[in-house]
Amino acid sequence: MTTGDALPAARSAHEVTLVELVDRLLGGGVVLAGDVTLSVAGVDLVHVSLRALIASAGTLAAREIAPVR
Amino acid sequence: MPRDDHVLASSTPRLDLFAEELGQAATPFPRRIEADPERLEKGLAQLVLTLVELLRELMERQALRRIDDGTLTDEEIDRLGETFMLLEQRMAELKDVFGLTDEELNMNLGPLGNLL
Amino acid sequence: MLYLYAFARGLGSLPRATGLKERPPELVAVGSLDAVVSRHDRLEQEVAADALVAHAEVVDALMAETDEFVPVRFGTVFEDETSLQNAAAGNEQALEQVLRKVRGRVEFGLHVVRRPGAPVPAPERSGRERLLGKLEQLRAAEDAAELDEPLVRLAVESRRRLLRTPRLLLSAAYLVERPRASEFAERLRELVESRPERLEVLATGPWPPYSFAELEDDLRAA
Repeated sequence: MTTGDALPAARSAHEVTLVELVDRLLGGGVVLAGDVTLSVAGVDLVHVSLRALIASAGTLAAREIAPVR
Repeated sequence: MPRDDHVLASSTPRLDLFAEELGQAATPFPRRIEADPERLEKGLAQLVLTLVELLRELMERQALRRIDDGTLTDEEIDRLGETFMLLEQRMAELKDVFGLTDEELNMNLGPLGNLL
Repeated sequence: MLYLYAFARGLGSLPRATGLKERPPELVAVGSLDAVVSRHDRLEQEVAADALVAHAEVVDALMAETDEFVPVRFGTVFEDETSLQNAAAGNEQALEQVLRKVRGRVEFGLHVVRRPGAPVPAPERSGRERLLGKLEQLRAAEDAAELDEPLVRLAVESRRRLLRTPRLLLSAAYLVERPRASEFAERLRELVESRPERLEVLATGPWPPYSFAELEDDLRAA
């Protein structure tokens, strides 16, 4: 993998991991009725907000890679 | 940052393909039957439509098996195809009327997985 | 307020992770278990990437420390220790049950998609086309499902979901005994390498056993 490929490949790995986390953390684990539920964007979470999640993960990825240069 | 060492192996460097499809498929919420009395009507619709969807899916699967076995005539395939398509359209209209999404119609049967 | 990540038993030391909003993980005794939590004065948080990641990092760190824990779904918050203890006490048996199921086990994931360029069923014109299109999809999904037969046999339990999207033919999760995890990972790599040309395969893990940490009824506050 050349340095030219590093950013897109890293971002894709982040995206996949993030989507898997959405699936596992929101769809899995023991469900215990707490006093408060962290607010969720509802149905939009998947299509609209997921884009926002991925965008913010992309920003994180860029910040990681920049210092290496 | 997300720990992408959770990615074990991939047949392609194009992980974005998976991200795209998984993003579309992600259903973050458990499927619950609406038991709140204030939303009882929606809860009943949810229950009824879930059962109708189940029947439709079972019948469709049965039809597909018969097509696979070759035990249906062309005319029968046409008629079944039209009927199922109409049923699907009707279901979409009903879901719309009650403001129900596909996710809300699904049911988690524990070890058996999801109903639909 | 207490944000809950997991329950654990016999934990020697705290999981080494930052925690949600950089509040460090702590332990709160709950019956014979420890609740892994972080304390917050106030918690208003939308589901967002950094929050999911913070949660996952705590549970990952926990998995590195111990065999005996139960991951909790994202977003579970209690007003105070008493409230958390009441909720756990009221569900002691259920928690024991799920702990027994996932103790010493990890999760792996598998996803199978059609390669781009491989034909995906086009929007149908007639009822007949729609039905035949579904048949083709079903056959493709069944082919994909056959791929993971050896994995299903190696795992304690598995969940397979077919046709999650027209292109995503199979998504599966496997619960695997820790001692067999590296063998399982090896099998996954083999599967990825030997897959049919028309498919792309992604294997993930090891994860904490999120997909198997569940009960028939959601746990209710006491």
